[in-house]
Amino acid sequence: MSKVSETESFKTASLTKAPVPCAALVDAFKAKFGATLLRLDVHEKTGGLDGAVQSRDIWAEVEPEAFRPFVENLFCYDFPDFHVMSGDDTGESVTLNYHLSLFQRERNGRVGVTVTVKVPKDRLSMPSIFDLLPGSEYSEREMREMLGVDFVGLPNKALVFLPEDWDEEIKPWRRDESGPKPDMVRELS
Amino acid sequence: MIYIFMLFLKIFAAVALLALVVFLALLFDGADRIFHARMQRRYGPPILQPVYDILKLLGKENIVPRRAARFFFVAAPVLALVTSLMVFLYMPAGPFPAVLGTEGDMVLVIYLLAMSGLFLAIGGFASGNPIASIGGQREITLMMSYEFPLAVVVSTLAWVAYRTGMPGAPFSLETFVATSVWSVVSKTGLFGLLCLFASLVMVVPGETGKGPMDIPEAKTEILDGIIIEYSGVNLAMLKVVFALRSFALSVFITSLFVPLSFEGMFGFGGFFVDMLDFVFFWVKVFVVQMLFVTLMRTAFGRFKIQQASRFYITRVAGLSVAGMILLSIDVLCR
Amino acid sequence: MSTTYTIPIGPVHVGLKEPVTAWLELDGEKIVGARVRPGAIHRGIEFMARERNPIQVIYLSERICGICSFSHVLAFIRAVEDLAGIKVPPRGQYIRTLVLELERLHSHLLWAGVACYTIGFDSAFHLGLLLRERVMDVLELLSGNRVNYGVATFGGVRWDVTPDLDRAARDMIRYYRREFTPFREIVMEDPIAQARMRDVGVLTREEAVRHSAVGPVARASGLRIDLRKSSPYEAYADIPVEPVVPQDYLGHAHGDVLDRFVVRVMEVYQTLDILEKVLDGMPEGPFVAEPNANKVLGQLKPAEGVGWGIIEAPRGDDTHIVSLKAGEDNVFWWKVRAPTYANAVSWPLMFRDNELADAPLIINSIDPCISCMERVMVTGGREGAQVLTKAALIDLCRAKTARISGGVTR
Repeated sequence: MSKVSETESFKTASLTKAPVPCAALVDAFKAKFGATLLRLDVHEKTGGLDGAVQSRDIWAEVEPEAFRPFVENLFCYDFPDFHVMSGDDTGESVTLNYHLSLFQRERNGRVGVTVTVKVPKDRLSMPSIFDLLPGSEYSEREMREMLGVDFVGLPNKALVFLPEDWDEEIKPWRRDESGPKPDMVRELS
Repeated sequence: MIYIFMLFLKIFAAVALLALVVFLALLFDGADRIFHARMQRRYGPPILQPVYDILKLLGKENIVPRRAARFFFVAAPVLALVTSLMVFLYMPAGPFPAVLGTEGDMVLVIYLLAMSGLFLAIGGFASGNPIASIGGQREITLMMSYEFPLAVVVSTLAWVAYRTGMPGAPFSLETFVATSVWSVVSKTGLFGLLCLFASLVMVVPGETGKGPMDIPEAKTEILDGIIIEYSGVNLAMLKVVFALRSFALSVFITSLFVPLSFEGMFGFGGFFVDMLDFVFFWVKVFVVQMLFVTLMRTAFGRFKIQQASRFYITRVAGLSVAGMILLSIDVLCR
Repeated sequence: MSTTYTIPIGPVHVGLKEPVTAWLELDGEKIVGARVRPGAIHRGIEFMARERNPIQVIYLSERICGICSFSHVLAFIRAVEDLAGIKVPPRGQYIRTLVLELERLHSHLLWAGVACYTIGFDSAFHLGLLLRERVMDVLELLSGNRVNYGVATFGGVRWDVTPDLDRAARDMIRYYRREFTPFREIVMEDPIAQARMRDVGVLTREEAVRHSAVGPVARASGLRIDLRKSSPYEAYADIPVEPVVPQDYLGHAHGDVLDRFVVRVMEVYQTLDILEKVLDGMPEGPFVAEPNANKVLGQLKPAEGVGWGIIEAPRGDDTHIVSLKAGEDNVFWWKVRAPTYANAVSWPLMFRDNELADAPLIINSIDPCISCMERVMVTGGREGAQVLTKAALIDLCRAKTARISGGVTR
């Protein structure tokens, strides 16, 4: 797919594309990203009386360099609905998960896509996807204040949830020396 | 000697009347809250709740914000209270003429009501709170919007009284209490009077700051607006002012448009009939207030200031002008 | 001299249910700029979960929100079930769906009432809250509680649907079919309510897509998205749900507050239909895979990985991501995304070209969450005022539950 169709897809933000089956998506991702795609799992979710599979989630882990092309590629299929970012301190790196959805119009059509990126702690920086998906603003700001990842291109980097007088050296969700010290945590019963 | 005696009598009458008026205004406010609650399937507070509120507020600390213009902030509630009390000195209480009836008329009543509204706005501006300033702006905007229909109603009625030769001074409220304005016009004029009556009723929410026009004090938008910074005695005075304004408007409407009395029905007067009429007058005021203040504020949500302004400047003003034209046709063509 | 000035709406404001601050830049009454600052009620729940085991976190997640408490519980439980591969028996799925829909009913009725309150239409507000009591009674009959139900657990639910509850729920459905329409007509045919809500807080269809709006806000902008359709979970796999969008009722989606009102009001009728189908189709059998909580914890202990639970809460899709580590008792990490989190990004867009008077309504139009705590004081009687202790309140609650359940105690 050409670059032009991608940018057009950002312009026309609409959820009108026909769904692509999950298996075809998996094949397309593998073909396009090859070695930069570190891991790719599919979770199936069942429901109802007969316990049939109702929807599938793709869990993909990519190299940090391949992250933005991966997200841009999703626009070829449908305008992705951004849900949230989750993250954790995993020792040498900070792991970020971007949770997105495709094809929400059709019955049983939705495919959840989680893109996992391990950001090494020596350069905690990620390209922002605010220009593609403005809905990611609060998530990126939250990951910045909670885990200390800098997002290049994010216009507003103010605190979202932490108080105004918060010491920004302390990142609440980190498990290393930048995390909260035991004396900062008040145990309730 | 007799002059001094009359003066004392007038002072006594004024004090008694004002005490009664404040009590009745608070009582009607309590009734308003109960009826409002019952229409919403709630129980509502006891009828004396406004009185309790005032008593409680009188014992509370009176805070003047640091950024307030102190003189205007403190003076505004006093002046608003004084002007809204003065209104009652120029309005007849049923069969009894107004205490200062010879000194002022309907124009003065409207002027005093506008003054008290203006002092409320000044108090808001003086409090140094941007939210109160917005409330003050809204109060002024609203006032500018409803004054025109109000003036049309009053001057048309006075003109009708003058042309049809109703006994008494044309601008005096006593004229309208003594002779029913409904009886001096024919069919076309009746429609005109209805138009005027409807426009006056629609001015009531704006003037009292209740019902769909509680915009300057909008609680869920600007947190009670102009009174946000007031507390203690000042707030108590403002609460009385709000109760008095609703009450004054009801008295005004009753005097102008509901001149029903036992004296008129029986065809003779006397002390007992006058006393009966005096009580009956407050009953009429009560009904008017429940219908045009309580029911209105229960039935509708709140306008935005622009919508309210447009409503008064186009709809209500149009209605009052239509009433004026119909009455003119009626009076001129007879 | 600057001609604009800034005033804050919040953090504590009569018109808002939730502590959030919107700094509005005003020119007269017109909003020319808006900056939203949440954070006044951040409680660090995700951090707290790291020191609790999954069963404890169920009850913690219930405290995220007072209104959509069950949605959060279920999203969390589904995330754990996703990563540990726990299957739920059909009856458990149906009971979950029942509670979800009861909660949607409760949430939408509350919202409709509060929207009326925000525009100063107090009578409709009281009517809305009166209507809401009935569904809360049914929830109390099921669980013993009015807001935090404590119904769901891993692999199913904790309370079964008894014939009593079935009857009460069907009575409730009839009650709403009869009583809700007058409320809808009172509000939607009121000229002032129309004037206050039409073309206020507009979010266009394209902006809704781009800013990832969810739930009734997205649907009011004309997007046909609903997770109950696109990825059916629990009993929605058997019960088809079509997204409620304003263009189906009014011919055109404006994306304004009135459309959000229409969407929520029409979803009430849809919910009543779904509830009826759930009650009719309720399968027999066990309602939980493993009733013993200790055994469940034993099953979860070796589980490792990340799970994603996503459901359509009353306010939009509610996403929970949970990570467990093998051999650890506690939740490793947890991320909650309430629907408000997604919709709040659109607030600055909705404020454009509106007036100060609209601001609380716009904030409320996405139905922000709140958690609340109450203390009751009983007045009256010859003895005068009396403050009830927590224990006395709990006794009163039990007495009321016993009363509405006809003396049946659990």
